[in-house]
Amino acid sequence: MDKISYNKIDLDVYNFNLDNGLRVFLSKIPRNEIHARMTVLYGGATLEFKAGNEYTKVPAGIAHFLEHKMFEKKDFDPFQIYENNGASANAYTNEKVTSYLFTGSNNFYENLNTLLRCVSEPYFTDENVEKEKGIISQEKKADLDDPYYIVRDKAYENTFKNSGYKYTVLGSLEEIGNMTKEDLYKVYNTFYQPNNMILTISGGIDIEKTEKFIKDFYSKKNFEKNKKILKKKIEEPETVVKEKEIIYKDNVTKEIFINYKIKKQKGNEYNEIVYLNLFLDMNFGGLSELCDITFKDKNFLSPIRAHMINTEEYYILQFSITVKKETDKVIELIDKTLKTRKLDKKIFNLLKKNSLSSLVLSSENTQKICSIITNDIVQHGHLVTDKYDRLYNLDFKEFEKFIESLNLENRCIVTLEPKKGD
Amino acid sequence: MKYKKYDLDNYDIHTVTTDRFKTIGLAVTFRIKNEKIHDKYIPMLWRMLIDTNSKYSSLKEISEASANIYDPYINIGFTGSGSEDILTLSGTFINEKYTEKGMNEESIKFLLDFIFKPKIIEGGFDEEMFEIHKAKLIDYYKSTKDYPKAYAESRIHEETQYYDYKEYSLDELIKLTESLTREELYEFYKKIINTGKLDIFICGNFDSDEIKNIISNNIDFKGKKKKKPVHQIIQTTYNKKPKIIIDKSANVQSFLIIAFKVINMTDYESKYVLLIYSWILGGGFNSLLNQKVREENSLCYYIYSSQNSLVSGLKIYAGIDGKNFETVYELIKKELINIENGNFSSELLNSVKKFYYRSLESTEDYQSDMLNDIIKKEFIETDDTKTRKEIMEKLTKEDVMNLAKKIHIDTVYLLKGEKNG
Repeated sequence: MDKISYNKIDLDVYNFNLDNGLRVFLSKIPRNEIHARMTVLYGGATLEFKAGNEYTKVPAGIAHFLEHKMFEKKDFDPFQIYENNGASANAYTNEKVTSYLFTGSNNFYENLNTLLRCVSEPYFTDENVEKEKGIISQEKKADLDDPYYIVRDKAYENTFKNSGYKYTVLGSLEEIGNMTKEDLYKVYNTFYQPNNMILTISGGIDIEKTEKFIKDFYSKKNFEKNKKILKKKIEEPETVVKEKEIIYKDNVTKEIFINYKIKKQKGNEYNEIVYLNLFLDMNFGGLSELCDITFKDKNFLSPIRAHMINTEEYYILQFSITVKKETDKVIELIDKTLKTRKLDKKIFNLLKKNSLSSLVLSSENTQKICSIITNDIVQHGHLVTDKYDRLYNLDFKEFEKFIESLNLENRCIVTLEPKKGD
Repeated sequence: MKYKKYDLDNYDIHTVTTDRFKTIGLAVTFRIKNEKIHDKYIPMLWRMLIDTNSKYSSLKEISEASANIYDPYINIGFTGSGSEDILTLSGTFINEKYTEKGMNEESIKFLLDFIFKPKIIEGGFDEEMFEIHKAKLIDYYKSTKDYPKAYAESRIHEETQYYDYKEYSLDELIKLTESLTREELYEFYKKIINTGKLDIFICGNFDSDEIKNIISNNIDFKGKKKKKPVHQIIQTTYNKKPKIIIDKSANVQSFLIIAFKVINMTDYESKYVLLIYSWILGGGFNSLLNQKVREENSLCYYIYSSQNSLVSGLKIYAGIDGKNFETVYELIKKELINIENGNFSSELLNSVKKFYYRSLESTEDYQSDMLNDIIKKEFIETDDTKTRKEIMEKLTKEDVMNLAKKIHIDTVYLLKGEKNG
């Protein structure tokens, strides 16, 4: 077992890998509770992969459907066990991963046993798949009424031509309705392998005992060693599918969603992600000129919400805003602000300070620690233990150079407007 | 963990010292007796306090000042706490041990100014900011219908009377906000500062006396010290025939809220039994409603209950298909009868108790929970942790059944989606 320390934030992580390929990260901090998270490196954006000897395509929404069904067991009820131990349990799916987790302070080993069994003992039947369709359809229907999700989902569809990101993680109502147990087993058998999973645990744990428990658990299981997982390589063009679309709904306000699609260069990805976030904060956050301008403009019913999404080949700069009118004027303001690429060294240094503060805070609780570790592995393939120093030493000139190099010409806009005549 | 209370002339400071966190958490609270008219002022006041300050002329300046001291988290809000309205400033900042010496005092000063040094010009709040916030708040009220959950919540709020007055409707709030002046809002602010009960809570790794001096040296508060208010509201009546309201919407999904009143609840029931009742009914995956409505009948993705012991109330929330309303409502009523008749397992009762014990244990894991625990002890005199655990261990199925007999459906609200998905 290796001890790995994150510099300057008092965070130690113990790492060991099992023969079956499972990567395990344990972090002991002075807390009563323990948070454990098993992350499967399979999410909603992967729909074509090799199963057996051939490539196969599965319906959108399957990763999320599978997440629901992994809690269904033939001879035990995971939630019953967690709740009997006073623990809370949950799971989530995004485009890249599916994670199963629990938080509790008692009967840790029984909870951990439940988590490990939960992800390694599938039980899908026609009946239990059918039952889940009604539940997931209701989950989906909430999104169909939400102005933000309506424009966001359409913007993904119009930004990507071939990538799995064009589909929603939940899938459509039709795709949910057509899901079969055979589809689920196909995905499970391909991706739910220990060498495609990461286990992170943080809190008041005994490191040695936990290591032994995990090793004992897997010594009784047979998994194919070093099973290769082949996802189909998808070519995604730099251009967007549709540059602008308007959706009409019975709404009082107008919703805008914009994606800028930027092809990644072969640079330092960690720094690039930090730079893009600093760039967005600098121009659209609390320290930007726009902050006061948009606040004082009564047309803006929300601030400009700016995010960065990191897909395999592209960075996506996302903007969403709720306004009363004049959507074109708002879109133009965002575009002009971005393309002006105004960079301010003083603000750069203040934002660095904020980032350092966030980093220290993120090592304060068990769930955030598991997130730091998991995100490092998913995004970078290893623990980025010198985050503090990297942030501290960020160079303004390199930042300027990177921002100048961005191609901001590929843009997709979706707006939601009140129905005409309303 | 060590708690210390400083009983000062005008207010109280409560310190909690612990070495479990890298941050320091602060809460400043003013409590005033709840009145219907407060709803005219409250949404404007917290917006003005968080965005204006006599020291800064723009939002950018506030952000710069914040970044200079390692960006403390700040929030200002009002919460209803039974018969009291509480104005709360919450702040969290990194302990200076991890940044620079002097940052604890700088952060405390920065945070306190938001509540004690608002930007006042000629007897009223800053005019420009006031008019902007006013226009945006009115637009927010007008656009609530775009967001089904928020709209349904505002409608049930309007239709269920937990206080000795009826809540304002959205239309009434719009009219009241339109008529509000910056001078009137300042009068309301002064009313809170002059008549409210002030308490300051702080938690972290520090020297208590030192931190108490930093706080008291940075507060210019002349208000008189007030007596401890009583928060609990006792309900004595309910709609014998539940009021059922169905509004139509162009949404795909329907949103159901059922509001209950708990009649003549005892102090023990309020502090312990109602929470357990709510968790058994709709608190977790194995709760009665989740099992019956979601797992057995696939009628929803979420259904849950939420209790508010201080107003003697409870609500059930669910997202369903409109055509299934009658079915879901009947299933819910059956589960209410099941609890009343004791038709729920001992395992379920024991598991929700264990969840309660865990929440007691994990209080020490989160600074905000630690602060909230001290605040609750001070405000509504919750028992200490050991006593709470002992009382909970003795809580029986009969206690839950007895309370169930006092819980009555008062209002049912359905925002019925009429669009096919």
